[in-house]
Amino acid sequence: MTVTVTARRERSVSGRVRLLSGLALLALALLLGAFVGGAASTGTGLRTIGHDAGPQVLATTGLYRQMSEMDALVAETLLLGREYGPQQQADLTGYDQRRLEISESLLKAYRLALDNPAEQRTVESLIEGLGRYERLAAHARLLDTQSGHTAGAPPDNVVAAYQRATDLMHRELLPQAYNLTLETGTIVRRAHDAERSATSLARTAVVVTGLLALGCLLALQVYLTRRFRRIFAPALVVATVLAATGLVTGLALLNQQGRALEEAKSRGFDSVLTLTRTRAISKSMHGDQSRYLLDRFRKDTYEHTFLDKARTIVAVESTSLPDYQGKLHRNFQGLLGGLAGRDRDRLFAVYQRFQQADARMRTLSGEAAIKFWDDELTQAYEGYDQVLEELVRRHESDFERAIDSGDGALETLWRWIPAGLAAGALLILAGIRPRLREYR
Amino acid sequence: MRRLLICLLLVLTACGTARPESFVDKDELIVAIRTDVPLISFKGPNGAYQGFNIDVAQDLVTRLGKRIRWLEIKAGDQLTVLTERRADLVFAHMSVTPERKKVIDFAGPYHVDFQDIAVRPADKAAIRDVRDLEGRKICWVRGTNIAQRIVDERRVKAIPVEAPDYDVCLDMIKDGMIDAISTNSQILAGLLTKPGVDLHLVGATFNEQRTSIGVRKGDVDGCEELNRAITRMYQDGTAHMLLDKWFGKSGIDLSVVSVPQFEGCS
Repeated sequence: MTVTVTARRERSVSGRVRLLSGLALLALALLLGAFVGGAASTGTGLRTIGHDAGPQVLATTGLYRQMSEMDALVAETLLLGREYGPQQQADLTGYDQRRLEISESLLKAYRLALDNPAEQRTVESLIEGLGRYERLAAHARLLDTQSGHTAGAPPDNVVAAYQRATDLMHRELLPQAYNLTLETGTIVRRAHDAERSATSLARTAVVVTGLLALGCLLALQVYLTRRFRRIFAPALVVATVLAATGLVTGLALLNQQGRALEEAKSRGFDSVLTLTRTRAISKSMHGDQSRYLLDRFRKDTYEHTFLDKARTIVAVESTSLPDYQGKLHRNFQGLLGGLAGRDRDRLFAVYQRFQQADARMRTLSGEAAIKFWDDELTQAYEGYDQVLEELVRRHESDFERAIDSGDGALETLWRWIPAGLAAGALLILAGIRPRLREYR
Repeated sequence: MRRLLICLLLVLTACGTARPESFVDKDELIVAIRTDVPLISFKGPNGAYQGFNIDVAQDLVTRLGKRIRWLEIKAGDQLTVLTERRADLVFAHMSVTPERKKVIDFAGPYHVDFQDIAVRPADKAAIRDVRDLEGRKICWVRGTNIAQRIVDERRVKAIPVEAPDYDVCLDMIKDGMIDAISTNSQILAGLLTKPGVDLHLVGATFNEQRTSIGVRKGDVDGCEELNRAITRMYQDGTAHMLLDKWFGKSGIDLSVVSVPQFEGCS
């Protein structure tokens, strides 16, 4: 009788030890799985933003800027008369340079759009449209040279020819390039949202499985202490410490990665997207100024598009362009409305100078207006554009830093966490082996 | 142990991130339209809705894999049907303005055209562009921003005369109470098809009109989906086909069809 009771008790003791250590091992395995899942999903997010979409946004906004610059250069050569010969030549060189850059941007955009047929079709239609644009622009330039006019608005037939070219650019090509950038923004936003919920799920899973593993390890320790009257099973203590360290470090790394991604998205990607869009729109505003001078039939239209774009960038409640320029104040909304602190002040100052120069240009007429546009207005624009470019650069490096930090955390996680958890598992086995042997 | 469980529960509930409400989650969308704009959205002889906006709405909503329930609205209700949640989308030939953007969001534009002017044939020689409206009476339909765009934005001192809708404008110009009607060239082209209307289109393309779809404020997902559908509608030629179907004979110049540059959804 006593023999059977003892035997049963022995069986149940070894069974419990096996059960508890089995559970601890299982929990460790699940913990590892949760880490791997979390790291993989953040890794995907980092790849989407850092290595696919980021470069795509730069390629497409570059495209928009280069194309509107190309059209602005055509307007400029038409506006400058024969007495500006060398400058016209410089404009043509600039034009060829832009064309080269556009080809590169198009190739890049096409390569990065490989898995999105709609984006690909847009790039194809841009290539086709640019060919048509070149033909129309060349025609306008030919008519312009033949007319041999002095500085100022060219003859009507030149304006009509240019209208066809610039219409194509502004009504078909530029919108497609702009939408391409927006679409990339959409892809990133969605990837980011999906990744964020996946990461928070993974984090929960890590906490749950980690606590489970620690619980099992502690229970095993307590049980062994009571049952075998030993205070410590050293291997198990080390295993517990390893599991706890793994849990804390892993969580910290996952958090760091998540933060890096968040940083890359909001301070890097979003800012670069907004600022480069602003830069592209500003370029086209500068073009609207020369078109305003060039085309007396469409003066009103170009003034209106200028105002429309100005309100997109720096929104101030106003009824007309002079009203807008008079009411400009620091508490503006619009694309640049998100800027804060010193950046906001700096950018606002140069933007205001650009708008003031514009207001002055619109009070002048004839050659005086063209001279002012060529001199002070262009300088004011370039000053403003320079500050924008600087800000873009800075956010680009913020972006790259964040992506690097995320990549670094990911690498550390891959290197140490699986090893630590595997060591923990081995130690558990080592810790219970002597106890189980007592029951053989 | 109990404390541990409570902890776990807290962590688990905290991770359920709330996704903002979007029409994307619905199968049937309530689309608000007007029924008093010829060629654009009107009731045909058999009582069915017809027009450019109707076709565009149908095409886009079908591309999103959803059904439509139409809701008739009057001019001036475009914003309230969204803010009061009576409609999911508004196809009312609305253009984007900063004021409107404060209360609703805009998907698209799905079409870009210009503002034009319609005058009596007798005034054909006197009114040739927007500056010639100085000192003349123009129609201002309540809820639209057209008159403001001439008087404030273009600084042309025309005199706006208020009217509840364009039919009243037509009566007023016939009776000599006003001199001109100015709005989107598409809307004007539609008005000119009405029986008994004898007006001349000036062809003064001065303000760009970006005709957009009203969506509820904050519905970024829905807005982005609509923009993707619009891109496809332009890429596969449907947009050109629909423009030609409704405006091919209207006198509007369709030789260059603008690709709409999107407003952006956030």
